[in-house]
Amino acid sequence: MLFNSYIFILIFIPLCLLGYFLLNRLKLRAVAQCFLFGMSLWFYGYFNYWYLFIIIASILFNYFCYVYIGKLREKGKSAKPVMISGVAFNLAILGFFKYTDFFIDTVNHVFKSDIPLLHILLPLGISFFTFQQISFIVDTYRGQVGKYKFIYYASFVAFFPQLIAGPIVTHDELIGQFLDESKKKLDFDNLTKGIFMFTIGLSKKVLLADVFGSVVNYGYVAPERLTTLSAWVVILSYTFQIYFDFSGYCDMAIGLAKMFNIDIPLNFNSPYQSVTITEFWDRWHMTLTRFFTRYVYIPLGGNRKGRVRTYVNVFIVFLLSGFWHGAGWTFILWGVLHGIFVIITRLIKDIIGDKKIAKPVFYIARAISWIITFFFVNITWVFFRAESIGNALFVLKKAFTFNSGAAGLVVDPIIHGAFKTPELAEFMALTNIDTKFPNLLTWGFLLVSFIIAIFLPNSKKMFDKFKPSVITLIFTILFFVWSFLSISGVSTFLYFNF
Amino acid sequence: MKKSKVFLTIFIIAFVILVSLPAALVVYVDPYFHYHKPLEGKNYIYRDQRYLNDGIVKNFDYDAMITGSSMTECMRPSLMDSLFGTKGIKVPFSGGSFLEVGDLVRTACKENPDLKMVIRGLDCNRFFNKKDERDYEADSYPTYLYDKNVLNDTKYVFSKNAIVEAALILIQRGEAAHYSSMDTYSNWSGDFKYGKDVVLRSYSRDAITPAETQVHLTDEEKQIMYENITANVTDIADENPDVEFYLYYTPYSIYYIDYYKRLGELDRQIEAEKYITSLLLEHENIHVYSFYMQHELIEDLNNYKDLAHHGQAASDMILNWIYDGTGELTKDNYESYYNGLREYYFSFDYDSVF
Repeated sequence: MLFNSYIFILIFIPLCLLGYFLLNRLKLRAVAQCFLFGMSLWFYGYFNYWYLFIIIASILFNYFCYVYIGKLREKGKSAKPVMISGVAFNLAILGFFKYTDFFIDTVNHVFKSDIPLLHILLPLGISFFTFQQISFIVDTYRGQVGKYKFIYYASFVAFFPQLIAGPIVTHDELIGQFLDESKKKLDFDNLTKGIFMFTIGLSKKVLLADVFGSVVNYGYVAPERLTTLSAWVVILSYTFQIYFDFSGYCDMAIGLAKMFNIDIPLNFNSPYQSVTITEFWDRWHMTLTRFFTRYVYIPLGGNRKGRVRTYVNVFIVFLLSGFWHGAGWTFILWGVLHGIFVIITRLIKDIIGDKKIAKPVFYIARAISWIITFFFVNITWVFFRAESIGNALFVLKKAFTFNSGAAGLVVDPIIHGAFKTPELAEFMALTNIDTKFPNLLTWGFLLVSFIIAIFLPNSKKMFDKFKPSVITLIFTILFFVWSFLSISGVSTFLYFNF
Repeated sequence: MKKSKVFLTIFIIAFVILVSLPAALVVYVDPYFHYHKPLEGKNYIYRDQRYLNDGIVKNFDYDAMITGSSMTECMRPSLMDSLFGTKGIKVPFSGGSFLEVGDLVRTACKENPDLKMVIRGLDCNRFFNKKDERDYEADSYPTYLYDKNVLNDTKYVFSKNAIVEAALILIQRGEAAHYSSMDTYSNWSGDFKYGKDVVLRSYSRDAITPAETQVHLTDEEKQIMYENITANVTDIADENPDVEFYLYYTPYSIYYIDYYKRLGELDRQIEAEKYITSLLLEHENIHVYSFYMQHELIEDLNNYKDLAHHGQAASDMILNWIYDGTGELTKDNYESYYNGLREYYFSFDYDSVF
């Protein structure tokens, strides 16, 4: 089920809240927890009921490892082999579903063989819940996990707000809250706060990301049609699409969890405001960065084994991150480019050190640094989005070919058309603005998105400061209704297949 | 009462009202004809074929229909009505495959017992499609409009596209300010220029090196065609013996024939059309027309805006020909027709028309 669907908003969420808090009111704690788990399975199985077998098997396996490691630790025996095989098994499952075809395809290319692809259906969110459970197994081995009943563990992994596209929540963040007696009662403050946050996320997704999405699809399907300026509109559109889509999804997740009195961690902290690429990775998909830091970078030695090893470790993390994002060379290249740029940035920092710079120079340097970072992120998103490296290079070639003169500065009418959403286009027509500025919406969408992403406080800050008032009420009603009426015919979330 | 309780209460009430009112508007006006035929005295926005056609065939009063690909878009049902004494509709699918058009005809036959006549264009560039071929991803069609499931109508009644259209129709503004009819539905005839110069823009003749030999129809291709025509054309005729089907091969311009000849595919194309004709003529309620020997149409580029598409004047000619039997193929004449056709187009001096 998608968050941006009628069944989710009109049926699933009211039913889930009602059932959960009613059962808790009757002091049926375990039943309420089972209910939440059951609803999460319905949410997940609604996409495809075959997914249920995979997630249930995965939960059972990891819980078994947890119990087994616990027993070994009690007896004072080494649990390392169990931990390693547990992690390996999780990775093998992920690898099978996600990378088999990529592997076969690569073998076919290298050895000129003709092994047929298996076309395995990738279960949604498998990348997320696999990582979540790997962290659980490793923490169990490290002795950082308390005693959890099965149903609490199962409802932690399957908890629907974070199930299919993160954030990658850890056991200690969630299970403790499930057990907290003070969180078992319907709290109207949290409920309204959750609705407010859900509204922000839904608006980002359907009012912004989906509009950019249709422009992006058009651009990448046949880049030969693009003029220079069209290519830049397409590239920027994807930069905004992926941000509003993914962060919107996470906002909705935070809002939904809050309705159940549960706090889940922030995943996006206005990443496009970052002045350097290292800062970008502290602000973009933060729970993934956290995972890689805890379970890859630090175990590899982090920055404790000298500068060269540090750079190598950074590079490994980004290579893996690229591969995690998708089974394709485009993603690997994207990861590698980011890795290299992070290393260069660290190198410069290491050379410059903490020298004090005069204020005006400092601001100018920061501005230039922001421009370079934002530019780099934009260009690398092209590889992330493109069907192939050739496709990406084609789009970039279009963007950097300036020799078409005035014709290059024309934006394709179909791209302008994609920004003309029915309600805004009709508003422009009825007010006659469109006769004076026929393509105002294109530039309006880009400008508004730029302002939101670069200058406005992010949704988490608005969420933390939220108080029920006339203004927040009008804002919530207006954007919730507008988004609700914009759901129909929208695309699916980008991050599902990661 | 707690502030957040007030917030929640007002939020829920406002939400219910603010989404029910537009939904009620959509149901009342019904811009896609999902529930009823158009309201009296209102101009509707006849534009999105894949949203409208299913509703049109289910809810309009009619006993005849014109359908096919974009090649039928400039047809005038009013002319059909004056010739045949029918009450007709037009339901074209731009880029529609045989399957897509066939599904619509099936729905029309099933939903409308009054239906007695179907005029349908068959595109020769679709001859070799598989029987289940369609141009778009199957899940991109608004199938919630094609079924009778009320639950999935949420996608319709809560969609801002439908709401905006319903509002415009109600107040008769924007696109709904202009008169619209089945004749003007998807009719682009007046929007384009016609003639040799324009047509040449869509055809880079020199880019194709003339083929030395012509390919011929294979048994595999015949099998594919047999399946496609059976599933999407003749089965429908057999299932509905009371409906008369007037099928015509949509006439492309002489340049298109030149294009096939240069590709070395003209022989195969003629053989394919002949084979399909032989299949169609086995059914009593199917009438088949081919206008490729109507030289005043095919060879006069003033009828065309590109290689294939002719405007309303040519569409009118076609309806008149169907009415008076010009170009009709029968079991007795079709063999000699295709022999003559082949001979004519293989001896034609193509350079003379460039």
